[in-house]
Amino acid sequence: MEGLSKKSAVVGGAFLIVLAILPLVMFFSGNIFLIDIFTRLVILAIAGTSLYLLLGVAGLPSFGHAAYLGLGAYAVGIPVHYATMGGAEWLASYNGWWQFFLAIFVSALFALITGAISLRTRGVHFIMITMAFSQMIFYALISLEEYGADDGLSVYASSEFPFVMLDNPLHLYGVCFGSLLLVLYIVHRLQHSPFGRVLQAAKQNETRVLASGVNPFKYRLLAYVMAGVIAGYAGALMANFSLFISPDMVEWSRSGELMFMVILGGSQHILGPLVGSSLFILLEFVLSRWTIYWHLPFGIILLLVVLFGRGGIMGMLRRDSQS
Amino acid sequence: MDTILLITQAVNGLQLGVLLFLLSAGLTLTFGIMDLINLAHASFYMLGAFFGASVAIYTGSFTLGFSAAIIGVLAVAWIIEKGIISRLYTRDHLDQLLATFGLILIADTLVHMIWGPAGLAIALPPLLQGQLTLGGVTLPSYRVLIIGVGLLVALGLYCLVNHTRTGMLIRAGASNRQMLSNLGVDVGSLFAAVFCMGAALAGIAGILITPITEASIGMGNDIIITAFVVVIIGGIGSIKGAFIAAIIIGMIDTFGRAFLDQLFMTVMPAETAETAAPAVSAMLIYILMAVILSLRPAGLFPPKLR
Amino acid sequence: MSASTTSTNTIANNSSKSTGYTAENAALRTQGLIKSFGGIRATDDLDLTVKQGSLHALIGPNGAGKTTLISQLCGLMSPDSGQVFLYDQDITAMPPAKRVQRGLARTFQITSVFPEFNAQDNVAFAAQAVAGHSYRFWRPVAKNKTFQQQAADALARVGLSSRAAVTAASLSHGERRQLEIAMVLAAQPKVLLLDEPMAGMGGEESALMVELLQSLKTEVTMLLVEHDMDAVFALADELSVLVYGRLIATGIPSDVRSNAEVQRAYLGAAPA
Repeated sequence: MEGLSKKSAVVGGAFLIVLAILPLVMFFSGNIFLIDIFTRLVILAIAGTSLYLLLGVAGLPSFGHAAYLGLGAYAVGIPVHYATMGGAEWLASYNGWWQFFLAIFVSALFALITGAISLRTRGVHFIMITMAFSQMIFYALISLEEYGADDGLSVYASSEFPFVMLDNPLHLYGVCFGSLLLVLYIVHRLQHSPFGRVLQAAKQNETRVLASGVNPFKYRLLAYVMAGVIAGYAGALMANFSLFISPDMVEWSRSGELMFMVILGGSQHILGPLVGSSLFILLEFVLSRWTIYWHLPFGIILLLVVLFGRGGIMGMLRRDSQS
Repeated sequence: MDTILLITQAVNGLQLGVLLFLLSAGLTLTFGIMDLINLAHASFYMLGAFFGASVAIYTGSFTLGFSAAIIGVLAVAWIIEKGIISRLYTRDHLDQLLATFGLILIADTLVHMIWGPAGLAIALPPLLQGQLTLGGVTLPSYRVLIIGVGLLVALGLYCLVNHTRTGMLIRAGASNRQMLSNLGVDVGSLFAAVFCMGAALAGIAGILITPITEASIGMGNDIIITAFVVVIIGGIGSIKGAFIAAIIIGMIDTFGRAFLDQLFMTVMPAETAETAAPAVSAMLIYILMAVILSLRPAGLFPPKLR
Repeated sequence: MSASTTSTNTIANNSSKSTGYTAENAALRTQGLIKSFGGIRATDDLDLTVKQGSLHALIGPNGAGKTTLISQLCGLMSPDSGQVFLYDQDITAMPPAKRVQRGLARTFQITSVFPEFNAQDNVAFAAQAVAGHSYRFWRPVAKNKTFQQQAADALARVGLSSRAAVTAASLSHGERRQLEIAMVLAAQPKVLLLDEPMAGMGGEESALMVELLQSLKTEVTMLLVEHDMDAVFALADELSVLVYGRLIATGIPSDVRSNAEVQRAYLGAAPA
């Protein structure tokens, strides 16, 4: 978009370069555990970028986006569970292609069904319905004894792919970072395409879009499915990263955190979610080391960002460079 | 299925419905009148439980605890309304959601710091420990009390909203916000009053449930979403809608959990039914919401002239 | 050329031709259209015919139901009963987006553009919107020569070329009006509904708008709702007067102007 300042692009680019180099430096200097932090950051940034497609491009404030992380994660965890424990032969597999296909397929299906219902509503209704649908997944997972219910499920083996070993932290980080770059590129192309223009136009003035001869509903639904698929993919990566999955991934407060990352970084810039998730991870890292009550300063920061930091970090940079 | 079990479950459903109503009444009003979406409503529920339980334990009187829950929550709600919430009325819903999410994190952590990580359990006063026998069915008297309190509050709210000047303003505000300032109403005070009243109702729900469960950190964070579902189904801003939707949801949720497996066993193998039933019954109210919204996008009783 | 001489000519031309019109050359027509809100009929059994190639002005006091009528014509509101025809086709049940595809475009009383897009992108979107579906996900709109060219042409047409890169939110009120006209032009409509295009404009801006609409008369049929009587009499080939949802007069402007009922109900009460 034209309003983009050079400054925010430079900052965003710098984040990407740091993410490309720093984990390698850490890995080879022996701080292997730190690469974990970066992997989690990058996975959250992928999910955040998919939320940006909804929130920033299409203006659809989905407050249930964590549901897709959960669906994607269980799509990896459940086939592994059966492959290890036996049962459900049609589903059981260590094969990564199969698991990732499942993650994408299930996410797309869930997004299609819930999107078709949610997108008929506006504003507050939309926020609460997306939230309620994700909570529905949460309660469903909690009551599934077979998959550990609220105790969660251990993922005994990483997804198997040719050439890359996802149980190798460096490989996993490479895959996640490569995925982030790819997702950023795809979303960037999408938002400037005719399709993305419809989404942006409908966000600004829906009546004018109708009066121009386009019904935005199907475009929004498609964007909703795309965002769900990307987040589901991030969920599949998350299962490979944490090797333990639980309904906790889906709880609405996770969706709230994801939303916070996007808002913190700036919902009007494609690199906003990346910047936001980086700061989020940094905050969590620093604060949780400082006190067990780290949610208190965290909550206060969240409150301050919402009350005073309009437009997030990227927004501040933009205003800065315009004045 | 025998009748006794059916009636017992109906009472449980009614009790859940009444609790949901106490929670959603405040939500639907702040929503309808101030256009405020307030996640921190969950914290008032929790604070009601902790304030009430602490005083009840300290004094040994459940009644005093009950009063303390109301007064304490009112005080906190007033401070938060003046300090933070009043700045949020003009903001978009996403900002409201995130800011009140921040409030939840703060409230949960403060409770953790003050009362520690464990929950706070209280015993019922002896008077309420017994059973009531009504027409051959034996019911715990405390559950009957909860239902009674809930119905009283519902009745009180109904009278307030439909038969007083304040109520007229509330209804006017729910259907047409602009009208309030045109009528020369002190909007700030009305908003604060409605917000605090809603918070107090959530606090009452919190202390009422404490003898059955216990006061615990984040106890409101899940039920608040169910209360949102109630508000959506009932129609934003409608007390009547919230009441009816709360009872429906309380019943469906309770009956689903109690009887769905038996229902499923009639059409599928027992093993499958035992796996599927809990998951489906957990999803039941959301399916209901989806169905209702696809038929009536504004809920069952949307305020007119919106 | 001056606007006033042109308009006199047009009216003269038109009055000589007007006997030649039949129902067949109706571009837009309503039949028995009724819309009520509560007990009030905002549109009361309305038969209106906008002839192919004409500029048909619709006047009436505030609350006469002009915007309600426009909304039913473009499909944002559906009538309680009656029909709307675009050429020979009954479009009463057609959703608004489809009507635009069929060549019926509108402007809004309150200017309706995309505030965050620049002028060029606003118009390029309008061109994109009528060019068929937008399920194209990869190539940037900015590189689509057709859309960009159509946008540039339409902007040139309304005299906004120099402001192409300015975001709509930063344009002046008059410029946003021009932009909205450019957007509907880019859709290449056959029939154009204009809901008070001069509202809130200063004298100079209004004169520019009259000139613009004058220049469009050869290519598109227009239904113009307007309060500015100078503009109406300068532009209209035909004039209808709407009062309380009813048409109390229709005809060539000079006839309508002298109609006693119209004088009493409207023109006399609010002299131009």
